[in-house]
Amino acid sequence: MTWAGFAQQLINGISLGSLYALVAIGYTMVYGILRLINFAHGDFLMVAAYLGIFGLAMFSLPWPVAFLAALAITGLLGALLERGAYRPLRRAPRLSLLISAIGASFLLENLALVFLGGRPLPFPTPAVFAGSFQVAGLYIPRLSLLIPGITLILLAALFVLVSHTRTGMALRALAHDWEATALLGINVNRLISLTFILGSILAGVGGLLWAMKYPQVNPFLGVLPGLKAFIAAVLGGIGNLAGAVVGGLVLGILEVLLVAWFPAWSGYRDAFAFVLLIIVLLASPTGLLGESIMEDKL
Amino acid sequence: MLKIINLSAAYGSIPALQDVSLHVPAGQIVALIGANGAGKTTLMRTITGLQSPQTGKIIFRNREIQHLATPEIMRRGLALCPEGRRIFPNLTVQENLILGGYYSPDRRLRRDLAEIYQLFPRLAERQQQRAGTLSGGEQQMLALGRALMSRPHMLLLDEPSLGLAPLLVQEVFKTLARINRRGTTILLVEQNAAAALKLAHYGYVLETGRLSFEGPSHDLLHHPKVRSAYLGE
Ligand SMILES: Nc1ncnc2c1ncn2[C@@H]1O[C@H](COP(=O)(O)OP(=O)(O)O)[C@@H](O)[C@H]1O
Ligand SMILES: [Mg+2]
Repeated sequence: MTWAGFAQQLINGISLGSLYALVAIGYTMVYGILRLINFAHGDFLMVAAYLGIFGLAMFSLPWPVAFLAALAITGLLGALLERGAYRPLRRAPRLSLLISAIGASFLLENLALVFLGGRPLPFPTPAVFAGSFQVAGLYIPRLSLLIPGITLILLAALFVLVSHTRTGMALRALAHDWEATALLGINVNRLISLTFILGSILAGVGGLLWAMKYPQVNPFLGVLPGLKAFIAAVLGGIGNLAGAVVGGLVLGILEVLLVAWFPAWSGYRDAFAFVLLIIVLLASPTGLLGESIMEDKL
Repeated sequence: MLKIINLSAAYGSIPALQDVSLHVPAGQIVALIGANGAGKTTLMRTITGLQSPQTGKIIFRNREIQHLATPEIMRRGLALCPEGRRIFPNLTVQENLILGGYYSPDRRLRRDLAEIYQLFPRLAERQQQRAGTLSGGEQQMLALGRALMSRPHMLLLDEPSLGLAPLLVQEVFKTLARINRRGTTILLVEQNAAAALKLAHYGYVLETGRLSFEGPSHDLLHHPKVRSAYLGE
């Protein structure tokens, strides 16, 4: 492969990896606080993508309004999911919670299937996000720069929130010791709602970007990226915010390079994520950066 | 300030507290002493809503609180220094204290921090250090300081002397006396009966989930049965 070809693939990989990272953050935050794998998390990509289509195509809103509305609703739905499916089970065994999460995922997918149909809808990508340019012989879609850029800004904002605000301190405390946090009079339920809102919004951003990258939206859109992001979170060390970012990038870049270097294996690109996960977990059972339950900030 | 009426609690079918009634008047220090496994921690957890009672009432500042969630109970002016301190080891000393005053406006928070640092100069020197790196005694100071940051009407302490060297125990108890003199009511749970009763105005003795003796702490200190069972004489 030429240098230019490699750079091209690297850009694609970083862009895909950024999307995984955005979604992986939500898995890791919820796990850090509830010790729950929120299997419905990936479906919020789909939810945001459909909401984006409604805003842009049905209501003809300007894209910033349509996107912000889609994200706000997605965040709210995330909080509702916790209220309806997880909070009632807080004193129940972990397994009940996990089953509830899988149920919520099926519910979201099938609601979309019933009401929106199984046929993919085209995503009306706003002009700002479309197009591409050429630099030094490289063909770079504008999205390939926007995706990592937006991801970077959002992750920086999350970092500031978690490490420099009172709310962030409380989140870290909650991840460490639920009872001790409640004993300080801190409204634990509100922090948990906030965690779901933040995670769902990030997944929503991921969903909108995903829908512009692959502009066909169907009820199962979130399944595969959700699964990959989950793998990324475990890969980096579940509960560890920095780990989610590293895991996402590593997975995205390796996946793209694998396909580029071994085109014959491209059919196995999804299986590759699992193989990578198994190899990493065999070598280091707590992932690349270790399980740290939001303790090491970011 | 705090009134507990016929309180019973259990773990599954095993009773841990049976028909416990006690009263902590405003401004006083009340000690609850008892051997390991007597149910002292269970009582603290039940008062603070971490566990629900089977029967009985808990009245704090003239309101029943036994049906409330922990954060609501604490926001009514209660603070607990839990057994084992339960500080947040990966947060800094300062962050631990700030969480104690989570809902305080910034100005009040700064003033309260300064006050705690004055009360515990050792914490001031270690503000930016991770709390997990503190010694046992310093961690106890931090747990105490964190509990005081909310300016509670009443402070509950679950074995603050556990694992501390005798000199440090003295220091902690002196601090408790000072906190009380400034107007904070205290319920102190201890296995270290001698030290607790010397500090307190009134005492209760808990034996396998039931109260067996109570009285002014001076009387308890001289009660032959208490002396033989809890004061090693
Ligand atoms: N989580 C628990 N599950 C079952 N039994 C418990 C639990 N915690 C405490 N106990 C039992 O309840 C009784 C009282 O315990 P505890 O309140 O911790 O006593 P103390 O604080 O006085 O040492 C003991 O017999 C103990 O074994
Ligand atoms: Mg105890």
